[in-house]
Amino acid sequence: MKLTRDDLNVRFRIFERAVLEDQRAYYKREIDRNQRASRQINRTRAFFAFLAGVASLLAALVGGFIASQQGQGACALAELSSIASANLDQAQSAEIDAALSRGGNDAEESTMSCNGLRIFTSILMIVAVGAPALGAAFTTLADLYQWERLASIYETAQKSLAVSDALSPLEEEPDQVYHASLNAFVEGTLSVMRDETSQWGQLVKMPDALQEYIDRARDAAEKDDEEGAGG
Amino acid sequence: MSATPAQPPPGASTTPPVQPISQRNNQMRHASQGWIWWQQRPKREFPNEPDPQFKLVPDDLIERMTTEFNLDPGAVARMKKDIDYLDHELLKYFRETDHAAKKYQNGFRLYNVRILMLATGATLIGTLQAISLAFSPSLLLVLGALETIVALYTVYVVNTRSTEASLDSWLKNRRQSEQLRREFFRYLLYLPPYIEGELEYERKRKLSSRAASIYADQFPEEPSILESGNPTMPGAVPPSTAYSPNNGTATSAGGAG
Repeated sequence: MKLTRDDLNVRFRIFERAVLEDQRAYYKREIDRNQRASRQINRTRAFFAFLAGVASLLAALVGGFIASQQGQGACALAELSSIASANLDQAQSAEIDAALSRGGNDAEESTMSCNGLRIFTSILMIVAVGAPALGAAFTTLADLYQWERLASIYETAQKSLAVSDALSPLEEEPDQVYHASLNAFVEGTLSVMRDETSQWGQLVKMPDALQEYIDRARDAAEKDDEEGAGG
Repeated sequence: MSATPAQPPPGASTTPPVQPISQRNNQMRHASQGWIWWQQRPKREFPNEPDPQFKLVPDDLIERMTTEFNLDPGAVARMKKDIDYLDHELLKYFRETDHAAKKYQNGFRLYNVRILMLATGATLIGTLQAISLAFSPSLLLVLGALETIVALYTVYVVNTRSTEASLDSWLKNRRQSEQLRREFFRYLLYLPPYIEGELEYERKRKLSSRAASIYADQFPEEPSILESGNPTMPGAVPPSTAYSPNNGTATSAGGAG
C-alpha cells in the first residue's frame, strides 16, 4: 500500500499517544515509585541500625547498674534466688526464697527491682541483635527488587525518549521529509524501549544472600539427616 | 492537512494525565501512596488467564484521537484494518507472553520473599540462642530444635519450588512480549522489514511469520531504517530484499517462505 500524507499523519498521532506518551507516563510513574520505595527501604534500614545502637547502649548502661547493685549485695540475692529456682527442686527453692525474704521488705524490693532490670536487659539484648537481622532482611529485599537501579534506568530511558521526540515530524515538512522524520522518530522511540528492556533484564537475579542461606540450610538439613541415621 | 488539534472549549479542565496502556492494571497491585515496597509484595494467587479484551491500541483511544486531531476518516479506517489484522495475528501472542511474564515475575518474587522470611527467622533464632546462653541455658535446646525445623522447611520450600518461580521463564516471556509490542508498531508504521509499496499479502505474511518466530523463542532481527533500504530515507539502499523467516533478516531470496 502506498501511504498518503493522511495515512502518515494518523499513524503518527496514534504512535505518539499509544507509545511515546504511554512510555513517558510509564517511566514517570516507575521513577517515582522506585525512588520512593528505595527511600522508604533506606529509612527502614537506618531505623533498625539506630534501634540496635540504642538498645546496645541501654543494655550496657543497665548491665552496669546491675553490676553496681550486685556489688552492694541486693542483686546478688536476686541472683541467688534465680539460681536456686533454676537448679533445685521446688521445696528447696521455696525454702531459700523464704530465707531470703526474712531479710526484710527492703531486700525483697531490691530483688524485684533486680529481676525487672534483668528482664529489661534481656529484651534490650534481643533488640540489639534482632534489629540488625531485620535491617539485613530489608537490604536483601532491596537487592531483590533493585528499586534504586531501576529508577536510574528509567530516568535514562525517559531522557532518551526526549531525544526521539525531537525527531517527530512537523506539519510544514514536505511529504518525503515528513515520512523520513516519522520513521526516525518511530525507530528512535522503539530503540529506547528495547535498550531499557535489555538493561532491566540484566539487573534481575536471585540475591546472593538468599542463595547462601539456602546452601547453609541444605548443609544443616543433610547434617541433621546424617545424625538421625547415625543415632 | 487535517492534523491541527481541535481547540478545547473555553473553561475546559486541563488534559488528565496519560495512564500507561497495560494488562498490569488488572493483574498487579498498583498504588502510588503509602508503603510502596509493601504494595509491591507478590500475590499468593495470580490470575491464570490473560485479559482477553486487552488491546495495545484501544478503540476508544482511536476515536478520541480522531476527534481531537480531526483525522481523515479514510486513513483511520485503513489503519483500523491493519490493527484488526494485528489483533488477530499478533496480539494473542502478546497477551499470553505478557501475562506469563507477570505471572513468573510474581512467582519468582514470592519464592524469594519466602526464603527471605525463613532466612530472617533463622537469623533471629540464632541470635536468641546466643543470648539464651547467658540468661536461660534451658532454652538453648528448644531454640536449636526450632532452628533445625526452619532449615528443614527451607529445604522443603526449595525442593518444591514451583515452575512459576522460574527467573529464566520470566525474562524470556518479558523479552518476547516486548519484542511483539515493538513488532506491532513496526508493522503499523511501515518500519523495516515492512516496506511501503510491497504487496499487502506479503506484508501480512511477513508479520505472521515474524510474530510466530518471536513466540517460538526465535527472535528475528529488527532492521534499522538506515540499513533496510527504506525508500523514504535519503541515501538509502533500494529495497531489493525480502524477509526470510529462518533468521529474521533480509535476504535476497524472494517470498516469505
